[in-house]
Amino acid sequence: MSDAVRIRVAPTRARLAWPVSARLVALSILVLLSLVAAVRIGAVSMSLHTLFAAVAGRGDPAMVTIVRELRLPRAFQAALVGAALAVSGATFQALLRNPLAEPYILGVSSGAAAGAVFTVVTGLAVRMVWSLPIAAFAGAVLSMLLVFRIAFSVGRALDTRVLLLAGVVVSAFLVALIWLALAFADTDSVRSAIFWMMGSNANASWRSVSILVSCLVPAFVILLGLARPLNLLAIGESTAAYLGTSVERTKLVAFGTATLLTAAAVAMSGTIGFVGLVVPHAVRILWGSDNRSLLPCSALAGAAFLVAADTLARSIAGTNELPIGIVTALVGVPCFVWLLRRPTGAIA
Amino acid sequence: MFQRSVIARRVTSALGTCVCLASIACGADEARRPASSASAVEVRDDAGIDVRLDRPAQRIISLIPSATETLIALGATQQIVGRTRYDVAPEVAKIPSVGGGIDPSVEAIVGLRPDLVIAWANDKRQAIREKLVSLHVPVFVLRTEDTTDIFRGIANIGRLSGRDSAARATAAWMRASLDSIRASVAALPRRKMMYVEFPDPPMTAGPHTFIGQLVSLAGGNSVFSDNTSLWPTVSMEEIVRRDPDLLVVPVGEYTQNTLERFRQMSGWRDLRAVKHGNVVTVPADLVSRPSPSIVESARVLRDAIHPEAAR
Amino acid sequence: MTAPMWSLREVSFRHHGARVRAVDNVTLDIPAGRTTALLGPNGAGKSTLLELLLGTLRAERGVVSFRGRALDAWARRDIALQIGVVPQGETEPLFTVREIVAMGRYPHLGPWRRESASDEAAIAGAMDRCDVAQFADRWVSTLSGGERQRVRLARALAQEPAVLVLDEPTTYLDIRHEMTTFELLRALRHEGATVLLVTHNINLAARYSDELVLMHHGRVAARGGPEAVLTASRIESVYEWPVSIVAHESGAPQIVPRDGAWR
Repeated sequence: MSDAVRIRVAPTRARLAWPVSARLVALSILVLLSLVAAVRIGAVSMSLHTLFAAVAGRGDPAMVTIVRELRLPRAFQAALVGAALAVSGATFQALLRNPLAEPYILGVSSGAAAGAVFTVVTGLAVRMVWSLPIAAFAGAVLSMLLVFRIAFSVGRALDTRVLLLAGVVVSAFLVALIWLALAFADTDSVRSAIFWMMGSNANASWRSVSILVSCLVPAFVILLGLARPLNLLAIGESTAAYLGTSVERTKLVAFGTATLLTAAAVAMSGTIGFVGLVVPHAVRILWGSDNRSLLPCSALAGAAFLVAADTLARSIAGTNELPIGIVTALVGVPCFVWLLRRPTGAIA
Repeated sequence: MFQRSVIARRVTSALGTCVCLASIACGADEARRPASSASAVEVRDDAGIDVRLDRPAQRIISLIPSATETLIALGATQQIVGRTRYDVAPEVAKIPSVGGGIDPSVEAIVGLRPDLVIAWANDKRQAIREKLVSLHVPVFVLRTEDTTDIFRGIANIGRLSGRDSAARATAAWMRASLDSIRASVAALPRRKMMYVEFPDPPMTAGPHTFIGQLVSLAGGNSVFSDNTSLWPTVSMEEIVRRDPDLLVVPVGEYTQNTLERFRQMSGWRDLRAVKHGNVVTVPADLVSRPSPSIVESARVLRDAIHPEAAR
Repeated sequence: MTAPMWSLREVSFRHHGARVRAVDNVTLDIPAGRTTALLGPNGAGKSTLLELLLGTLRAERGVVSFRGRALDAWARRDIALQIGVVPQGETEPLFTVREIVAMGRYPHLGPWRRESASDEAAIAGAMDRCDVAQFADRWVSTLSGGERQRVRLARALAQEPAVLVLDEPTTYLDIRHEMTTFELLRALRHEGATVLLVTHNINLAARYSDELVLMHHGRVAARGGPEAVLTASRIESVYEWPVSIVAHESGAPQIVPRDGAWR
């Protein structure tokens, strides 16, 4: 090979060239800061001294309750839900090779909402408080199974185009059912159902936090183990096969794990949008698509983002709480647009 | 009333002291008496839960505006420490707000150290109630649909706040006033009418709501009195078929030209009542409150339905 | 005579819902250590045959053997250790060139193991060989089509495979890049690699391949050395266009399409 002229191109690193460990440390610090802010800020103002005492369990019992039973579990739940949605979003974007993919794309949010609305409208949610999250989780899982069933019935394998279409169709159907139920329900049920669908971390408790941890940790480990195969799948399914990935098995495990993770998050917090779409993209724009770094970084970034959004949602209007989905959209969009405008290549 | 309970308490404590002294003197085991039970309060709320307070609530947070009103009417304003942003009564303007009624800030509630929270039965998720109960804040669920609920609510709020006698007096006054309003139109023919809670889609008050009951008491005969739902949404066709004589429309403070509006709305403009101009407005603010102010609401409704009976 | 790399015996395949077989009763050996080119008009079945050889499609009838064993019996990962594929095109997410080339080590590393010194050496060597080392930290999507092709080639080389399979590797490349690629294939062939190539460029295939397999309607119309396969009458009947044959300076026959009557 004797080329007369070699075009010397300076390696234009259009991104922060940090090693993975530096990224993780920086993001972890961000998460920590947001958690501290979440505990510090709230409807009831208290001095730093009171705050520290309350964390340790000393001092005014009302303040202790507020800090230990309200602010701390809520902050942790927001972090876990944010991490879950971001990781799930990153996984779906790799699997579907589509930049618009996000955790709710296979009908998960509609399924969860259908389950939740069912318990609200039938009054079940009043009689047994845990019936709502359980129904939301079940609804999410069932809609995923339905989407898979449809996709399998078309071809032998999980064709991503068919999956996307099936997701859209199942979603539309479930949303129609939801509106049908709400059209005939009484005003109070409608209001309660809509509140749930707007998403909220207000019901966080140490129990819900522990449930989320027990879902997130194994799911994250599984997905991290699939990080390299997901990289290959992101390039193309045949390429992944040529490089030795068992494509169908990887897809099944990845889809299933990501969906279950999303279902758990939605069951606890309602359908909070935007996080699963934007956070992985933002991390990708900074540091690329390699899932071995993208997954943990998305988890941390998602956690910090949602904790910050949650804190903003409950503190910006005094004692009035804004629905968190609105905050994630209003805050997330400008940030994302700023990131998009940095000089880099394609987005997907 | 107040005297009697004070005397009762003093007598009980005196007795208790005697027994204690006696048992010490006799070297017997210390008498096990229940804590001064005259002041403990146990009331069953509208969700069927027995709410027990060691003594009448002194730090009440009311998430229901009508309950706030009731507390004020019973003279318990000083016992209110928190309200919602929808409580606009001047008496509670200075009291901190905890946010909405269905979605209040739990943190704000806990920060006010309440010994009782009055919450909506209408909340179909009951998440707030669960959260507060898990934090050991007593929650009393109040149903506010019909007049029975209202009277029971007044009695219960009275007991919870230690204002039993005021509650009984209020209830008695309310019944007397309502009876007199009923009597004032008893001789008149009942007027075929429809209470238009909302025009599009048309919504009316069912017979099992307090408004429906007040309308009936005020001499009105709702054309939808056969509908068992609380707030039925009805079709325009049904309204035309049942042909009410009069429309009673709750409106906001600043709303004007209601008749004009109805004359322009399709379906409504063809009704006999609208054509003849038989559309009467009532203040929405007033009639939607399931509190002691239902007496005033009943009066207003009576004047709207039977203007000839107004004095 | 060394054993063939691939053996096909009476292999047929029909696509889902198609009336006609894409590959029809093909019996063929692909020799080891040589460069073989798969030729044929559009729809002749070249890509399908390639997928059957790579195991991404399963033959309806007949047996495909790779290195003496039925392809069905091979684990995906073992196939990947043997065969490096350079596909025609693929999605371009935000990966750097180095990350793409490093993916070639996946069959060796699996999901968890970190890259060792020998892996790094393979990656660096492959990038040098394909002249993409200077792009190592750039996003792949910022490169030109030709450069991306070289990156994919580097990835396949990083696999250190025994066999290199290329699917239309030079369709969008200009003369220089096209020639560079074929020169590289020749160099690899001299090092003992087996090369299988699907291409539309009959003339370059004739110059750089040892064997040509000409496909037509799912069957093998001819196979053998370039002189044997590339006769005017055969090309005309398969491609349905009049051609002349001229000789290249290296001796390989070259096809020159003639002007045809407009029909």
